[in-house]
Amino acid sequence: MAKEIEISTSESKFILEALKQNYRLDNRTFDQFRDIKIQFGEELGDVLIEMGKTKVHCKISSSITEPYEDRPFEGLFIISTESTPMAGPQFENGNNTGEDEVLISRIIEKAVRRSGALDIEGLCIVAGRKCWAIRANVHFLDCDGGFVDASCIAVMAALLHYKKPDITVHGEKIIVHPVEEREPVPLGILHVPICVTFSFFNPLDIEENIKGEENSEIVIIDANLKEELLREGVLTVTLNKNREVVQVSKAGGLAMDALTLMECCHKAYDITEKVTDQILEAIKVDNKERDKFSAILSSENARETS
Amino acid sequence: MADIKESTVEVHPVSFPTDILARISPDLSLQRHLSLGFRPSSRGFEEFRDVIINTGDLTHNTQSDDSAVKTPSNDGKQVLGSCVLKQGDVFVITQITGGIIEDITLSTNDMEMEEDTELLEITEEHSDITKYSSVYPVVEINRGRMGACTDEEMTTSQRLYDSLLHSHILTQNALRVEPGVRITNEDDSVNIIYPDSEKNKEITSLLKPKKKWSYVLYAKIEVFGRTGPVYDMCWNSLMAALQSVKLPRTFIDERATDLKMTVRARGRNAVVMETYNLLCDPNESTNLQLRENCISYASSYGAINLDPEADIANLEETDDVDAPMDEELETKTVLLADIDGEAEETCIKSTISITACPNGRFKQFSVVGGGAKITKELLMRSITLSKQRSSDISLKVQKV
Amino acid sequence: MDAQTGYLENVDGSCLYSLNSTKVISAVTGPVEPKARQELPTQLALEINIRPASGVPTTREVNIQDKVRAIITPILASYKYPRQLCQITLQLLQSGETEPYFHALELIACVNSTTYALVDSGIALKGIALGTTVVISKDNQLITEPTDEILKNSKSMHVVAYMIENNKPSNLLLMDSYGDFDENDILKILEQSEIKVNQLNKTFREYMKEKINNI
Repeated sequence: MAKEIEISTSESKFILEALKQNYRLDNRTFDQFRDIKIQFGEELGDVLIEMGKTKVHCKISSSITEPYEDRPFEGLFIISTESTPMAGPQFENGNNTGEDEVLISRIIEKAVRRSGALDIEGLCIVAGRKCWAIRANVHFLDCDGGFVDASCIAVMAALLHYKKPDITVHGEKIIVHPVEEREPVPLGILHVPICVTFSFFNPLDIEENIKGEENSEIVIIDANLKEELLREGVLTVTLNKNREVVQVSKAGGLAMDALTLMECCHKAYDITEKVTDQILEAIKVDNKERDKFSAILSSENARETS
Repeated sequence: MADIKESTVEVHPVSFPTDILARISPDLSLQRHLSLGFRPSSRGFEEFRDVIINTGDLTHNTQSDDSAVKTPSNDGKQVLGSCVLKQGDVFVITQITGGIIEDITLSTNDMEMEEDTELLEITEEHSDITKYSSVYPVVEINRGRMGACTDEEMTTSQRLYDSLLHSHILTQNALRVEPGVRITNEDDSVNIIYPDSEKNKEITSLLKPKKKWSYVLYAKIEVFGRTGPVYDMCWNSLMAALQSVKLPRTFIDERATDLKMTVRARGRNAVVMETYNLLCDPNESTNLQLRENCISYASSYGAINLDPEADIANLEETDDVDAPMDEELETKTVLLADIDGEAEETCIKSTISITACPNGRFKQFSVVGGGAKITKELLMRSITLSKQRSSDISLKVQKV
Repeated sequence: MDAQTGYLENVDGSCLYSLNSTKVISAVTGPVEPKARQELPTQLALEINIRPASGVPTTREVNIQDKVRAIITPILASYKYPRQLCQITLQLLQSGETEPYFHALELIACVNSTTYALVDSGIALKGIALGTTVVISKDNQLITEPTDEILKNSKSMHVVAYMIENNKPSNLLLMDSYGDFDENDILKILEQSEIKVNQLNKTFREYMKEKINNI
């Protein structure tokens, strides 16, 4: 199956022509990120991100396991991304070896795991013997472009939202306290990386792009599915709120002006800041909602929980 | 053109030998058989295949040379219980092997045993199912070729696991390891003390390890010569094998009761309590404690609508193509016990599988109603048959 | 219970279904061209994939898949689409039950969600399939649509699915029971679940009616 999405010549010409005249089909400006909708599920660490028509679900799960032998002081953190035909006919069941799918999971992996967004040393319980294994399950539900950006937001929001059960260590024994019994503990998040994807279009011919002086490439942020299919180059910049670049990924495609990179980073920073604030705000609201009852309870039994 | 017009075409009825008809039109072949009152295998409608059960034959009791003292994890192939079951032409061989795992976390049940009242208070609430355990079955249906496991093997394994867990036959306590202690006496003689008697309990509790272990049982179920659905045979074989399981006794050496090891990584040191060296006794073993009243045996049934058109006896009378349609409405549904053979398996879409205890209680019950409508009468009839079958098999297992 | 059809954009039919704490999205694509090995010369082939909320699919999901297939196959008008494929993907968002022990709640959520999605997709059906979970508690009470906590403490649990034709339950499609019970329990459960399925059917009809009126 795994059908390539076909786009008619007239439609592709129309989209490209519109871009040349500074218009996008969904009426966004070139630098405009789609509005993000963050929904939390009933359980902790269950987040549904909607970015336009793109929907990504992320769920965090945790278990206690043995750490890697060569890293006895670190817990495990795994991000699993799997796509199914649910997201669109271009995805195949049980086959996540497609070029795009591998690229998506690699970028998310680099942006979140390798940038140390999660404090994995904090997951250690007994050095060399027991540690937490945190697993982020990313489910692609509906595809309308921007999977990388949406997934990264989903993973970070879910990690921030998740709380692992409290444990007590008695020498060699570990007691895992059910959530109803003891307030669960949030994960140690060191920074919040946000991916912003830029798509490049070349309004002129290839020669002009490589040798020309004009640098007239069209750069748009957060392409939708149709724009993604037509784009000639792609750049993903991952930044955090501390103005640090976590990752820059440009895998071939249209050659771009080096200075554009700086410009892109500046644009991406504004988006990063906005998105980070939105995530934190959403979590704050959700936590308040969840704490509603415990606030009533604690007034009866004013006990300090640390 | 004229030639064709003139030549007359004569239609000869094509007839096939029985076995070929069975392959090309299993449905018709089955219906013809049923209309005569018996099944393609020449069994009656409610007749089961004969079952032969042998348990314990494949169990390797460890040789008692000194080097044979190994941890079970090193010797995963050691068979603790086994069963060879033959039903019709099908062989099902079940081997139960085991391992020992350390209980990483303390469950609420453990807390009850310890006198840690403060912690007991907060972990009071506990649910039932967590007290029970299951074995991990792997079903392999041999077809004479290699390959990834099929969906049938996976679903059968999973169903066995679920049924066993929810039948409450195995408690977690039955799988708990009660290690003894190997003591070297002053005269260099070695003996192992198990916490059986009160006196021994005192000694072992002094050296009692701080950790807890459990046995984990794995069941490898191999099916040879599959001719039809295999779930009930696998279950019966597993049930019989479980009753023959002997768990090896384990002990720890007194010198190894409090070993500590240092783990060094990236220049930092951390003292780590190392695993106790848990050893298996080559001579001593205990029977696996099963909850006797939960032992149950499975049987399967199929329901099929009889096709009046296939009725040979009436065929001559209703040869007329324009026969009144009213007769066709009178479809009769029959129950067939112990589905077997390609024709029965492919044509019968409605099946009933019942796992019953000889005392009449059920442990697992599943109905799939894709074909013939499963009426209350059919259900009741299959229930009666399943109880009889369960008692029959139970007698056979006890005899072994 | 809450169902929302047409939740996804890129598939023919979809439904976000939640019951108590179990939440599942179903997606139906079809009829489409099958792979060569799936093709059936006279019928519609059916491919079902279930993805767990966390972790990778295991034998547990294969087992649920098998049961969903047993329920869904009879309701499809499969001879209408020879050499075609219907692809059903189910993504659990929230299991709602203790995963290694149970699968009853997920199974029923998958079946009901698939029925809504199949109707949404417009594939021809002979009837619809709806099911419910019934447990018998320790004090011999029948409880439909249990929560995880009730499941854990139950004596036996039963999954029952009926085919609904001409607006009433016609055929028992699946009954899957575990635990400790006798034949009277089975009859009581069949009776109870038929009542429940009738209610579910009413809800289903109302939902679809409203949906059609809003077009």
